Amino acid sequence: MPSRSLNPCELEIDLFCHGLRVDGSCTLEKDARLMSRTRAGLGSGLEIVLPGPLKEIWVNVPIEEDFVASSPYLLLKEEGGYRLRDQRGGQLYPVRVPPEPAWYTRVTSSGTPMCRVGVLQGTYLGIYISNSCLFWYTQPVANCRFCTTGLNVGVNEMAAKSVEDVVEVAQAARAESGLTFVHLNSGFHAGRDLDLAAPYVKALKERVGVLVGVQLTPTADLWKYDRLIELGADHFSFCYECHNPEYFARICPGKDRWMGQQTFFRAMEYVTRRLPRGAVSGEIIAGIEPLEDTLRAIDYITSLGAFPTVCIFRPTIGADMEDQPPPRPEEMLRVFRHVHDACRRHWIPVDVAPNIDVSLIVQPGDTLYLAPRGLRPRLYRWWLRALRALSGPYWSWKLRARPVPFETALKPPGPAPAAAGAGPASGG
Amino acid sequence: MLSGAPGPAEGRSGIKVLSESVAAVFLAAARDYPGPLLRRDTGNGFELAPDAGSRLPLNRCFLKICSVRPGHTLVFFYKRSLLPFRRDRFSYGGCEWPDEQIGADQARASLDYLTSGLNPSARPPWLRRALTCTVPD
Repeated sequence: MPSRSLNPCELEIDLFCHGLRVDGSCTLEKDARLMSRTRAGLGSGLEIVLPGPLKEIWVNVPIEEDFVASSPYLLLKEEGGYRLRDQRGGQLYPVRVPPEPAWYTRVTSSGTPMCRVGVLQGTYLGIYISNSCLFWYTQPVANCRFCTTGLNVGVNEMAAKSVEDVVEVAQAARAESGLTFVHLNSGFHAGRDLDLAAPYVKALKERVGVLVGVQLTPTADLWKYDRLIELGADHFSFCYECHNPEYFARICPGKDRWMGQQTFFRAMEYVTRRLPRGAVSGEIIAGIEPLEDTLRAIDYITSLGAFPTVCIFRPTIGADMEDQPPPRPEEMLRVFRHVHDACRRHWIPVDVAPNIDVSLIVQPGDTLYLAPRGLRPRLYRWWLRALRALSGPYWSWKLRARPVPFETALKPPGPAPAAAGAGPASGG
Repeated sequence: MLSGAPGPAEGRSGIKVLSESVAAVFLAAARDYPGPLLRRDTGNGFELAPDAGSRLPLNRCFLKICSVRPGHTLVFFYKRSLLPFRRDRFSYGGCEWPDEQIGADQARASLDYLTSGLNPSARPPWLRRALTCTVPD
């Protein structure tokens, strides 16, 4: 039980673990963004912004899951503004509820509601590009046990998104919401995953001018990553979820059966060598496997020059793990202190690209609030500040629409495909 | 035991696009069901829900029966949001059948699953958690 007010990152972690109850004084239907469970289901909560002296923090707070009923946090609307009350100690925290962008309620030229093509998750646009995940359609079903992707597509999302629809939504978000980053992800498509993403990457670079991230199941055809980088992909994330191989096999049976954990590691190691430091992330879930395995994952990812994307486990409605409890905040604090320490030790640039706030996770940049006192953490913070200040022209250059002189059909280079070019995986 | 929405139910306004025989099978099962159920018509079929008052999670659970293409009926299970204004449906899966294959057994199993609070242990064996069609509002 906190006896003092929490700093914004501590509060963010506590909210992910406890969720939030909504008081009758709130008028979220008028004030908040559409809440829509899409993709794996993490974004099903309420988007709020926690103000703070180092940076403001975007959080997608659980509000629908059963565990939320016992949350100590209550969202109130008082004198026109929103506050969180921690009913354990009576602390009050001012929060901002970001309004719904006007484009959410518009349709594309093909008549598709824009919010069914993609939604903002923080300040970036998340788009699930293709029809669900094949793990959900195998016999026996092999979906990741925490995931609700297969449950969402066709219910809250369009089953398939056309390139034209995606471009129109990204253009609207760029013009009206200051969008700088589009994140494309998808479920398992039996090895065609990167091929499916290629036309979207090219169109977004040519017609919108945004940074593009790709989060797809990995391939052993490592040359495909080179082709996507040529088309303009700026970021890749590799969701291997659990570092402990036994947990990986149990929690992600499809990923274990069809690609294996080593394929994630080889692909991540390959791409980190092709892109600038901090452009790749390894994504894991904290709160499922033993804590020590999570800490090992963070060390492994940062040792590559990638940044750790650590999701706090959320037992989402309808998932196989719906009845599991969320993790304890004390343990998650230890995880995110380790994130800060590992990013600092490996000089990972975080929060450098403009206007990318991710509400679904505790971003490495958020953990600056958890840094211990001392010269090294201060040096790291100054270094990040200098990078941000100096890299402005570079981002302006990256954020311009430009022709991409490559085909979207991914073809291997020359007679010898580059799969052999990958070094041995460090495995972790 | 079926109650609620007597006007639309009798008027059959929402059942026009749903096969009469399929509607009859589910309505008969609902009428004979031991637990209290509520019915609400929609544009392309109807929905059934436990008459659970304020009891969570039962009062969030819904069974939607609708036509998604000629000659086929979709049975779809979902939970409604805790926030009254929210439009999301939290899917628990469903099944799409040719109309002639739907009988009293499927209707009864559907109601059992619905009234269990969509408990995983009560999932009907034919339930597909990932659907291949778009579920209409």
